[in-house]
Amino acid sequence: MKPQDVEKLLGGYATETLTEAERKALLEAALANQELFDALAEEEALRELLSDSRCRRQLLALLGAKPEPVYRRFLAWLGRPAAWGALAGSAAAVVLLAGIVMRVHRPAMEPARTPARPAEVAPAPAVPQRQEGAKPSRSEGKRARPGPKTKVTARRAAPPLPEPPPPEKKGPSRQPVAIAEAERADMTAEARPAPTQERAAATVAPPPSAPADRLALVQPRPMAQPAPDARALYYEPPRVLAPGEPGAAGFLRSSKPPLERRAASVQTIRATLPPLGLRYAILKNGAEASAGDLRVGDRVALSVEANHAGYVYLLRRDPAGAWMLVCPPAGEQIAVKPRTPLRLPPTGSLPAREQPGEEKLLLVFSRVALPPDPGALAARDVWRRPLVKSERHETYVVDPPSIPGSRLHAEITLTYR
Amino acid sequence: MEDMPLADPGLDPERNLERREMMERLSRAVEAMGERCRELFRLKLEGRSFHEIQALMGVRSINTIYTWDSRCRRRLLELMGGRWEAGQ
Repeated sequence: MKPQDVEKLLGGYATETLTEAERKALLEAALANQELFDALAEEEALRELLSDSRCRRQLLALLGAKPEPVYRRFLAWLGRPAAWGALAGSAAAVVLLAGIVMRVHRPAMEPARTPARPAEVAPAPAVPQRQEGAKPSRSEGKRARPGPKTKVTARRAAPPLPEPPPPEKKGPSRQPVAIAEAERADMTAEARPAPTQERAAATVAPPPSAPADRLALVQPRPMAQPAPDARALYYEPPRVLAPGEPGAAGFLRSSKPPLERRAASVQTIRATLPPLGLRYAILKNGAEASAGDLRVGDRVALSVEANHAGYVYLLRRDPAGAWMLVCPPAGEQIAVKPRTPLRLPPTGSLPAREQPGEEKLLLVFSRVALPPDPGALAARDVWRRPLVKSERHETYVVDPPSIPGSRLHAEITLTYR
Repeated sequence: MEDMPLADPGLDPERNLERREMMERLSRAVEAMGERCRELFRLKLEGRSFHEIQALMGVRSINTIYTWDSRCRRRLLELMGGRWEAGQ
C-alpha cells in the first residue's frame, strides 16, 4: 500500500472496518506523521459512539437498511477483535469460578473418607512409621519446621510423603501446627487430610477461616520482573503491547493538551512500534574513547547506530548557550537504517576545542525527517526522560516504553582536559 | 429524536449528554450526505470490510473505495462542523 493511500484508511478506523493489516499500516503511518496521529486520536470519539450497537442500529435505520437478523449481528460482533477478548475473558472467569467452587466443595467430601484413614494409615507396610527419637527424613524435617507460614512452591509436585503417625504420637517438634489446627478447628477432616493436603496444611500455619483464604495461601507469589534497561530495550524486537499492559500507556505528543479520553487510543497507537533507541560511542582520533577522556586538540567524532529507521541530527551548544546544527549540512538529511553504524559528522570531526572544559552535544533521532532548525530540533518535553545505560565505551539511550515518542534526544557531555 | 440512545449507566451524565448531542449531529450529517457516501457508510456500519464493499459496489480497484471513503469521511466531518465532538 502506498504511503499516501494509508491516510485514506482513516475513515475505516471509527467504523472498525479495517483488516488487521490495514489497521497496522495506519497505526505505523500515524506514528510517523503527527497530523495523521492527531486525526486518528480525534476519530476515537466517533469510534466510541459507533461501538454502541444501539447507535449503530439507529444510524442504519436512518440509512434505510433493513435490521439485521440477530445471528448476523452476533456473527458481526464475533468478527471484532474485542469480541474474542470478551469471550476469552468470560471463559477464563468461568474456569476460575469453577475452580474456586470445586475447591470450596472439596472439604465437604472429606468426612466420607476420614473414617477409613486410620485403617489405611496405621498398618501400611510401605509407610515408615516414625518412632519417637527417630530422625525425620529431610523432606519431613523441612515440612515439620515450626514457625511462620511458608510459601508452598513447586516442591509440592514432589512424590507424596509417607503418612505421619496420628497426632497424639507425634513429638513436639513434628507438625505442631497440624495439632494446633485440629484443636482449633475441631474438624476431623482438617486433622487428617490427604498426604498432599496435609503437607500443605503443615507448611501453612493458620487454618484458613474460609476456603478462599487457603486458596490464596497456596498460590505461589509471582516473582517481580526486573525492569528492562536501555540496552535490553534497544535490542528488543517490536511487539504489540496490550492496552493496560505495563508499558502500553502513552501520551499524546501534540500541541493540544493531552485528554484522558484520547489517552486510551494513544496507547494502542504508540504500542505497535519499539521505543526509539540510539547506541553511540565517542571517537577520539579515530578510536573509541570515553566522554571524559578527551584533551584539547583531539579530533572527536561520534559513531552512532539506531534501532529503527529514521533520521539523525547532531547539535552543539555554543558558548552563548544556543544550539547549533553540526550535521546534517543545510538542505540535507541523514537517514539511518536500523542497526547500521554511522559516523557523525560524516566527514572530518567536530570543531576542535582550544580550551579545556565541557562541551554539550545533542543527538536527535526522529522517525520522520525534521526541518533543520536547531531550536525546534532541540525542543523536547521535560517529562520525557530517556533510559540511559553505558557499557565500556558504548552508551544506549532509549525512549522509555511507558512514554514513547516520535523523537529521541540524547545529551552528550564531552569533557576536555 | 424519540429514538435517541438511552443513557449508558456506565457513563457520567456529562458524557451521556455529549454522546446524545454527538448522535444528533451525526444523524443530521448522515441525512445530508450524498447517496454514495450514505451507501458506503451503511455498508461500513453493517460490518463489511473494504474488500467486501468493493465487491458489493462493483468497483474494480480497492484504492477507489479507499478514496471514496476518505472523501466521504471529510464530507461527514464538514457537515458536523469540523469536529466529531461538539465544543472541542
